[in-house]
Amino acid sequence: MSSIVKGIFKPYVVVLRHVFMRPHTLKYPYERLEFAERYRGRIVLNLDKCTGCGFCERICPNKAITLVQREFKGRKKRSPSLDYGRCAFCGLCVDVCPFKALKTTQIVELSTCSREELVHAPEKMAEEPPLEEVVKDLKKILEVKLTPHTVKYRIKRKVRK
Amino acid sequence: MLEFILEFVKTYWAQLARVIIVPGIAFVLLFDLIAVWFERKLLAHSMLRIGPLHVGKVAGWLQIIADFIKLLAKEINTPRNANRLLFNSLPILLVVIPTTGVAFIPFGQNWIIYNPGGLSLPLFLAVMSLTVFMPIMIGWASNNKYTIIGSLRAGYVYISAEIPILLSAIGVAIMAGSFDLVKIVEAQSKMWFIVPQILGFIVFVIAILMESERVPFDIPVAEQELVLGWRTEYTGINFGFVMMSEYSAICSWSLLLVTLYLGGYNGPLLLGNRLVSNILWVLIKLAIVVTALILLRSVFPRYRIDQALKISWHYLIPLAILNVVISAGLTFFFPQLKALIG
Repeated sequence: MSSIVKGIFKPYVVVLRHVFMRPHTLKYPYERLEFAERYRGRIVLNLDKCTGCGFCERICPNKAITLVQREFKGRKKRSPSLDYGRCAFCGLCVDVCPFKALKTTQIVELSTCSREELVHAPEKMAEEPPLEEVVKDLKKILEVKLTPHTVKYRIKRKVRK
Repeated sequence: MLEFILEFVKTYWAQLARVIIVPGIAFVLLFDLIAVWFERKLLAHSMLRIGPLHVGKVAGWLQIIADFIKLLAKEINTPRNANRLLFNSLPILLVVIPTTGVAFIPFGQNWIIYNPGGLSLPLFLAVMSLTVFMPIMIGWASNNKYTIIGSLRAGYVYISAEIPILLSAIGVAIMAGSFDLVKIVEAQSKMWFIVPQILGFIVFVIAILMESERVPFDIPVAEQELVLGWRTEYTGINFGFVMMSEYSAICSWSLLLVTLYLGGYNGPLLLGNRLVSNILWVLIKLAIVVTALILLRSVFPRYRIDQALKISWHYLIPLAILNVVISAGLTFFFPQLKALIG
């Protein structure tokens, strides 16, 4: 008899406790997690450092990178353009770049309305917009705090409009 | 014309207030809307999610109204071989029947829409038991194998839930010495019937879960297993009516639970007005009961149909009969108990 009562009420108490806990999901367009420092998201190009050596094009396993001819500061130069429709975010191009012109960021909001917009020309690759510009409704940026038993979120900074 | 309306309102304001505001149309409709939103929000929080968020600035409160407008705007499909008249008229009846039950529930000593001369409990049960026919008729009218199977399952579950409800209600009626819901509430002014009638209370809660198709007894619909049971063919606002009827049934049955076992409108004075405090106490108790019933959905898995029928016929009905015998014995051999509780 006592086992029946325990079987009925114990799960109820467990669930009731969950109701008052902080949800594990985030209110995404309003809150966003700050990812790890070396997270491999959108790749940013430093046009000043890039010499157009083409290592990134050669190492790319998905042939996402092609070098295109551009005029930069009065002289012609070849620089990479990246097709995010093909990119696997492996980060090999960043590793191989001998002049450290490429770097990964934590921006993952890359979806567009057409396939053509997924191809980032060198000028676009050079931009590194802040998070609050990429996610329009952003109000809080959170960071993860690991405790021995669970995951907690902490407000890192609030976005001022 | 205007004078006539004013005169009418002046003479019958109390009746009008009962029918239109509490416990009438506005209360039931608002309950349906709020209960749907509350269920989604509560279940989300119990699973550590957030639930409706985006529509409406605060906690997604406009989401339910948006859903309702969407259902209104959608096309109503009638299957080719269905019985057109029955198929399209039954959903309206399906909402009306459980809502009618609210008319017999006292929200105060005189605050009751219709008091049928001391027989409000049997009349309530009689009206609510008409719900049993609805799934069977709908299943037949839709003319579809899924709905027929679903309606037969519904018939099994509904009938095996009606009998324990009736028997446990009889226990309360014996102890209060009346079939009148007002007198039953008055009899609980010192002690709620949940204490002397604990067996009947347990039977009643499980049976109303079966009757209003809630988890763990949502066998007729069984979202993950069947094609939505007897509701399969409904689209657009007809589907909205079917969903509304589910919440109306929860509302009526929970109100009966509050009236029979949890002391009804009894409670300490709130806000300095007897009537307002009576209505508030019913609403507070209703909110607690509905929260407990809704939370069950994320606690327990669904029973198979044979298990549910076994629970009803092997355990609930014998326990309810035992409860009737116990309460009859208590009232007969210990007349001083009546002075203690009532």
